[in-house]
Amino acid sequence: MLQERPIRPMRVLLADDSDSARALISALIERMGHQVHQARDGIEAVDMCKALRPDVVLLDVMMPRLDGFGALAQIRSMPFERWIPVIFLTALEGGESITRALMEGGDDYLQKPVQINVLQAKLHAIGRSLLWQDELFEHRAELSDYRDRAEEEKQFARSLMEMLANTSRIQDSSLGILSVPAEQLNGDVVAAARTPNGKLHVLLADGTGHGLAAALNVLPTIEPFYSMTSKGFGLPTILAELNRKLYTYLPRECYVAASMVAIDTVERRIEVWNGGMPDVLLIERKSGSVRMQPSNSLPLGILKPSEFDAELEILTIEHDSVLLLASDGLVEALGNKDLALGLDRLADLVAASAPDVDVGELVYRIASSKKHAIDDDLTLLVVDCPASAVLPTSRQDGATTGKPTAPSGEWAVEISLNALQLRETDLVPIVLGFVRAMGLSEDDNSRLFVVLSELFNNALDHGLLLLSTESKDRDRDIEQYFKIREQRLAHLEDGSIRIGIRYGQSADSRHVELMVSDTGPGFDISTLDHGTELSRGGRGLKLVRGLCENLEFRGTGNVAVACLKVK
Amino acid sequence: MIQLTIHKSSETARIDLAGRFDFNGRKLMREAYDPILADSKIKSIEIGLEKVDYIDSSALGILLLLRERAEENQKKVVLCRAQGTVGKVLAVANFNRLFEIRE
Repeated sequence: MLQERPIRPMRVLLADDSDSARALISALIERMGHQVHQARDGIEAVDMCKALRPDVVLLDVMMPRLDGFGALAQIRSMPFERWIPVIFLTALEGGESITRALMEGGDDYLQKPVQINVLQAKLHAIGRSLLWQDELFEHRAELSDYRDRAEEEKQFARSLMEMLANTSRIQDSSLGILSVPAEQLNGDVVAAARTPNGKLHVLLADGTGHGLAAALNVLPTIEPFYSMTSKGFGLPTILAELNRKLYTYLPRECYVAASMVAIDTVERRIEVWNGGMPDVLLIERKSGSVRMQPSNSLPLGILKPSEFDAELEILTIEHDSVLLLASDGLVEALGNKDLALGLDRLADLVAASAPDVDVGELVYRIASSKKHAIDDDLTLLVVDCPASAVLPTSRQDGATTGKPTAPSGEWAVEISLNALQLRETDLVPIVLGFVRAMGLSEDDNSRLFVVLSELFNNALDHGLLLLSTESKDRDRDIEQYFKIREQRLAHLEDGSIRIGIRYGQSADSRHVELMVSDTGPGFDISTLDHGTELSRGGRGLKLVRGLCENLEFRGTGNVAVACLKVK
Repeated sequence: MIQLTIHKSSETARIDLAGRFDFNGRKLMREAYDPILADSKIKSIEIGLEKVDYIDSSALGILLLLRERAEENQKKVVLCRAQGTVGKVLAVANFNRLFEIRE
């Protein structure tokens, strides 16, 4: 029986001043399969305990120099991580010392002379407790490993997020960003960039859940947003791509609520898409009147790519305004659960402030002071929308391109687009590709781009779709205008548009001639000189005239030719 | 924590939820709907939201997952009697385009 393997082999420290008792007890313990270290008094016991860190200590009560109780007190005061059970060895007649041994912090006692079966039973019981302790420590170590790893991963994700969602990348003077993350890691992502023709694209996305998981869900949207915007793609194409990416990469239960806007300060027109985000607000600075664009689409990543179709709403900028995009909780943060009251308060605030007040700062101050009321991330984007047309500048991303090398000699390209292509192709990137290929300066590129897209839109809207501009110049009708445009474009069966670009050089100047013609009926050219030109292009043509040396209409008015001097 | 009661009739199973419906409800919901999805007689799964007082984006995700699993098993999911904020959250997410929503 003594030879059985113990359930947990232990290192036993045995302290007894009697040589014979020590010899006997250690022989027994060793035969039970444990390791024994011997001490002859309390002081030796304390020292060896410190050095050896035994699994269990057997302490005789009566010992010279330092008795068992004194040794126990010192052992207990040592900063051991683990519990070291202590068993007192007491004389048979010592009922009082048994009580004291347990009261002073001993875990058990053994009466001398030691009986083998009792000793074995007690060591067995302690072995079992130590096994539990071992297991506990293992788990604790695993847990702390796990926590360290999780923390490390979180750090990694955070730096990844910061790199991708780097708001310093967003250096647009008309945009303000304010954010209060609910956890260390904000699940909201903000991205903003300008298209080649100066439209400002802004994306605010909020992933499922909070913190790390939410942030990771949003990641796949960032790069496509920037790269497609810089190529000049429109909102519907970009949104379809974001949806496709998220649908492909995210687990089925994850999605990304987002709002996205395109602000065109030349046309004074804002395209809004809102999928699962709070209302996008357009607030007039002077009157404080608020227009809301509620969520009218499913969030991104839910619909199959074949089912996704971004429906845009159009808002017009009638007076100097600010556009507010907020993630969850803005209205709550404004101090009122009731949407209407929250908005009223906001509108009053804006109207009561000076025209140049930083509206974002204003809202943010109130919102963050009420932060305790909400438990979600809060991000607020404020975009300045002036009513006076602002010509787009060509700076993008702060990127500096090398010195442009203009192609030598003269050359020309021409493309023709039929009704099907006009219906289904996003033309801006094609046009931009043309312009870029010319290797001109950014400034010239930007001018060419604006002129070309204006002439193209003119040919499409008025030449082929036969839309009247009268309605377009009255801001209130502009939404209607774009609705009709969309309907007519979807049903366009006939007609085509030809775009020609001709580059020429002379000794002291270089020029680009842009020709855009449509197969529509045109208009009466003879009326051009009487200012009625505006009836066929509105603001757009005025803008084009300002950007090029010469603009003329030929044929029946269906051919526009613009000439630009370039550097 | 969400509480959940299941009623089954011949072709319809109803899971009534009560309390706070968020990510923590995932396991309970799965345990509730897995046997229902496996039951070929059931054609429609109704989720009773009347007593839910809070719902978050993760919970909407749980519903999306259920919808997909149900479609694979030729069943439909109906969201029933959402109140107040819960109804508003479903509306903002435009879930009426994916689910039948019943008062």
